[in-house]
Amino acid sequence: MSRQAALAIEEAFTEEWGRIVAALIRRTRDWDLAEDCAQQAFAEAARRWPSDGVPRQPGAWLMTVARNRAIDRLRHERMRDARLREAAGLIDDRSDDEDDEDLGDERGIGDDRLRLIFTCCHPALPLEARVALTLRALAGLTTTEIANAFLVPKPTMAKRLVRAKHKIEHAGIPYRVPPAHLVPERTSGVLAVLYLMFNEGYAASTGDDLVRVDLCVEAVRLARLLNRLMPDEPESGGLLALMLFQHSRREARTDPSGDIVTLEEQDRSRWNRTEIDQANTILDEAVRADAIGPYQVQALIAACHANAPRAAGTDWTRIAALYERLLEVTANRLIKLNHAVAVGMATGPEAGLALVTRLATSGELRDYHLLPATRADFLRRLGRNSEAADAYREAVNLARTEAERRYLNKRLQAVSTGPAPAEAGGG
Amino acid sequence: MHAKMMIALAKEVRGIARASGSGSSCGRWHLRIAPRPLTAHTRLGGSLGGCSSVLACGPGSPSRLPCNNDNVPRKREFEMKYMMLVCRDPSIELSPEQRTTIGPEVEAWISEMDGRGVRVQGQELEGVQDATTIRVRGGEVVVADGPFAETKEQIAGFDILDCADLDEAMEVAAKHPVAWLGSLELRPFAEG
Repeated sequence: MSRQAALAIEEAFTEEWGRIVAALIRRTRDWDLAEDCAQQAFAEAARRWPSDGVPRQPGAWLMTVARNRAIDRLRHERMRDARLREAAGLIDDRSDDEDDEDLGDERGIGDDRLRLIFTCCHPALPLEARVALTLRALAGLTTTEIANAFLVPKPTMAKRLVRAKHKIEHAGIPYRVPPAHLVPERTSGVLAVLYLMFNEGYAASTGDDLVRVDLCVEAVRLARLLNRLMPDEPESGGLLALMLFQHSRREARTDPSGDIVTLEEQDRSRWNRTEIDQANTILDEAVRADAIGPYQVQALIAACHANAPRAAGTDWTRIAALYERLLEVTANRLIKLNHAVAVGMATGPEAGLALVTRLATSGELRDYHLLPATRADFLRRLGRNSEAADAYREAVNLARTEAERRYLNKRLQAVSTGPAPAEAGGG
Repeated sequence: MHAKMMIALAKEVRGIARASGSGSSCGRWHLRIAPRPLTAHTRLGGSLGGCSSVLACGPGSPSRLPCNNDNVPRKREFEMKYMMLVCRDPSIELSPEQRTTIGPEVEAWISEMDGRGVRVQGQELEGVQDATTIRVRGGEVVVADGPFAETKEQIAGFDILDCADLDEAMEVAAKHPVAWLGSLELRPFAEG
């Protein structure tokens, strides 16, 4: 295939897949049909664009091909169904042409992807299915790619997707942007799904070295789309900015051997400035709407890190205050932990240790390695090395990935052998 | 139960199944409830005096609530029908105040949903202590005292809802007072 055609198809795929699938679902209500026909349209493009040249409007070309395929398939099924009905003596006298007419209608396409997002993220679907379905229907990932991304066998993922589509059809999950009174609640559901996707990618990138689709990239792409489709929702801007700030650090998060480099030890020249600038602009725009929400606050915190030229110049007092604000709206356990870190950095390790210890005794986050790791860090900075070593050991046992274990073991070694160094850790 | 009696019962059950022509499609036929408006002739509840939807109080004091189902013409005919199973969690105790308010709250829910035409019908059920479970195994009817599954939550009643979609059914269920005391399971009617 010519390089130009290959690039055009790749570009069209990111831009058009979700649009085509969303439009076909609206018109046919058949998710599998929509995906198949979109797939066939791209296959057709791969066959024809290299010799015929890239059409002037690739999106319109793909949509036409996909729509024609859908019409063919529906006609074919109708004929088969009609024969079956005839055989059973149950001929239905309803007009069968309705959908075909509708398939010619090009209006409302801009909103179709929004309908699709809200449907994929409907709260009546299991959370893991919402993520998978969004990746399949909207981002165009294959079942195999999604299965690999989540480290589950392909048949498991296939079953998950089939069940979700079955439930959408049979339980009456509507294909629409929810009515106004449901929008706030449902929007935060959509944002949660995208952020979960991003975090899954974020955690996986330090895990085993499998060749996987980058879920962070997909999540950022979808968050961009959502932000375009919902320009009046400041939280979608907040989420996109938050993702971009975190994503901008991907090159600096690990060293060449794949070990974790903490935020304060990272080489800030390796942070992606373009993304940070973008995130700043998006966040400024979002907070101007004066409807602050948890994602905007988290993005403001991420901005404090991203915009500090050196780790020592981080405004921890502001960060601690922002975490307090965040705790007012979401009493999330992870946020409590991060708040403790910020307080420790702003006012000293004793204060941080007190908060972490309170969190540990409450039994919250019992299985989360970063709780003992944070406690260990404060203990180390207070010179209480043997207590710190115990806490690091506890953290090693709870760590989920090899890179995390290596990092914690290094810290453990440092407190077990030498004098307490003067820096502290943190994400 | 005596073996002979069980065999006799088994024959009877098989006969009924053959006569109704639905021996194998268990779980389906009894859900095919006519979606047309209920009249005085079709109401459920018999001598209980109506179709209260919920077991509102503890097992010792079931409250039966009247409803105005018979008088309300149902205007709506949506595609989606749901069986809403009203499940009470016996471990959640009602305060004396709640005991007095729950009845009127359920009544208010019933009249709101009847008024909206969402509720096709509904019925409170006797407690699980009065349940009988029938199984046919190896050609023999096995009768057991009690519910078919030992679960924390017990089905206390049901309502059949006629809704535009799952969003509406979820909204209707969330408004039901038992949502605080247990759970409401929405099961779409099977198609076909």
